[in-house]
Amino acid sequence: MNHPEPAPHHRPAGQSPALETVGLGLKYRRSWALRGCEFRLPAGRISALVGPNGAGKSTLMAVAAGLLAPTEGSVAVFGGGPREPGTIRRTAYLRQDKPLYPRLTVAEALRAGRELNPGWSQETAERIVRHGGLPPDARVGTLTAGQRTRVALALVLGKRPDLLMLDEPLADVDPVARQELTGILMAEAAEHGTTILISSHVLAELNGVCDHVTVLQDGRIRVTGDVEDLLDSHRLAVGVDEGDGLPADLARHDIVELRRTGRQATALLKPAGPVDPRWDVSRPGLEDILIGYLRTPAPGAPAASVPGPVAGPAAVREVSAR
Amino acid sequence: MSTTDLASPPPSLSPPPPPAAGRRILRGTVWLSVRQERTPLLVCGVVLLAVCAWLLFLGTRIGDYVDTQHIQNCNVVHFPAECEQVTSRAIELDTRWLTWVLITGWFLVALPPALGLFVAAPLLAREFESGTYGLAWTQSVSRQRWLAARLGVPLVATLVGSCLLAVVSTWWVGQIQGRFAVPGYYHWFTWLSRATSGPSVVGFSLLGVALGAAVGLVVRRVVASIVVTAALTAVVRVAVDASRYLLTPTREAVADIRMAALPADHQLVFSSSHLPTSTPIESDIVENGLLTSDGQRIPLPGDWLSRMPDGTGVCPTDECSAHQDTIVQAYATYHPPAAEWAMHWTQTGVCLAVTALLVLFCAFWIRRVR
Repeated sequence: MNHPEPAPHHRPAGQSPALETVGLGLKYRRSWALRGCEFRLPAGRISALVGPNGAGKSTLMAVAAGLLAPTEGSVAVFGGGPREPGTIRRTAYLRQDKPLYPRLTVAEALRAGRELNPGWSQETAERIVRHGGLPPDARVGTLTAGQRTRVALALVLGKRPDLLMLDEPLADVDPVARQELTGILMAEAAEHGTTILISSHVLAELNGVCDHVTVLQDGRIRVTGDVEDLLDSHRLAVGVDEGDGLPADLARHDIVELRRTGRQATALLKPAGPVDPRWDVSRPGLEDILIGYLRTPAPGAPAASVPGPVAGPAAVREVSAR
Repeated sequence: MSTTDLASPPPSLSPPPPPAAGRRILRGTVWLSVRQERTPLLVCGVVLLAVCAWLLFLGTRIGDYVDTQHIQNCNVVHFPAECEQVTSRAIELDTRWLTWVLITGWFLVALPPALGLFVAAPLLAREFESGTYGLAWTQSVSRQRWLAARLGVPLVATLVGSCLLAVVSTWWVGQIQGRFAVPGYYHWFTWLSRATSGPSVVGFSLLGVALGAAVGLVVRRVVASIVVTAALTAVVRVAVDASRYLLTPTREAVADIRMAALPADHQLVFSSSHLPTSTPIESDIVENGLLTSDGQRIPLPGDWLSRMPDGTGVCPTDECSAHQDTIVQAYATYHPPAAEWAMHWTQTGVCLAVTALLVLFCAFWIRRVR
């Protein structure tokens, strides 16, 4: 299966996005895991997918990987259907539970990758495994969770994908290995122009790594876009406010989240013009923005698929001073 | 394992030289499938060789006894007159090896279903239970190709193994048939005989594997797959069994007969004999009965008939008594012993057809697994 040359991927420059969904919905028996998702991930981005458990992050990735078929809407990976032969060669997907054949040895697991993927890079895969000090003849089933993660990562990176989807990839590796593996990921992405979609609970570890971010909530996309754009379009406003509802001074802005601690109110908002000078305005960090969206329940009305404004009393939250 | 090369960037994008090219007979999905099923393949291979060795041993011992005691034509089912002197020797053979023949026979019958239950049913179900199907389906090969290897490897292994078993088992059944008081092994058509000899062994084995795999693909849970496979195997086996004479219609033999109702005078001495229909010896009798002059059929419960001293048959049933005056002939519908191989090939053909359908079903179903 080894081709003389790694199959050159014809990537029309700047044409198809790495991943694009239109009106994507997926229904499990009764409930919708995804609904009305409009999502566009341009090629070459390192994108973070965040959201609470059950928000649909894994489902979205599984749909893009061709494992699940959408109930409605469409999904395109580099312009093609996820199950097309040309597409499955270009994508790699690491599931949250990191399934591996437990009875294969580490070396055999890598051989499986080599046997099944024409563009396989044994070099890359072996480097990742060797870095972790994994004996090649150890059975995968006997490895620790962190070591298995390493083998699984070696498999997806060895495939040399153009779109790499990682579902909570580093949840069970120690901090040192996490840093190392993140470094390898970023190096691979930089070297080969890989688009990476990565879901994570640890917001801090996304900071400085991702240039694109998406918040999923209840199967809908709350906000999606480039990190720079998000940072530019959001502001944190801190001020004194005695009222109960939305402060009148801020009414004309899109308020994502409002928190009160005693008399002090903190608002994450998308300013629609200059903010009242009585409020102390600062540029939020990425984490502030993500937490702001994550803490606020999605508006009840359907189709919050358009990134952005969330206003109204639903966005107001009382924070008990502990 | 040096660490010096860790820091250096990948030297080039050219793939590593194929390691030990001579050893790479198996490639791609086939390699993976063989590797995944290595343990079951080895276990089944060892079991197969052990069973064959045991069959050869047992069959040889029995054959030696038959030869040395000169009871070739005398067994516990069929006793021609010349066997009067050797009855005790035939019975001695029966008691000596009966238990072993019984156990071996049941084991042979259980092998194909066991293969389906314990090897084939978990084959795909385990992939779903452990999530490794998602690993396989996100590599660069299509689901269909993966499935082809996943089913092809066990099916080919089963084909080869069961052919070997069929040869040895058929010979063994020939050695023991009729010589032991094991109900299923009396005749070529009794069910232990017909399930453990001829190409039927191959058919049932392949059917077991395809059925187990298909159930695993649909049910997706190992234990549940085993249970469902067990139930379906029983159903399918009964269905195949029922169709075994599909291509060999029954034959009919008739003979003239005179019948009478049971006389009031019970002092008469009756004799008993078979119906006069001269069916070949070792025929599989389907039905015995009597024919009236206007063509009506009156089935009889068996082919033994009481006779009055003048040879007139005595009606054993009320229906017979009612028509005694018009009965002119006795009939038997039967399958002659020559139908044995046609029966085996029919069974095998049905099994292979169902196997092919199951494989097609899997190829269709895997598209719509989401």
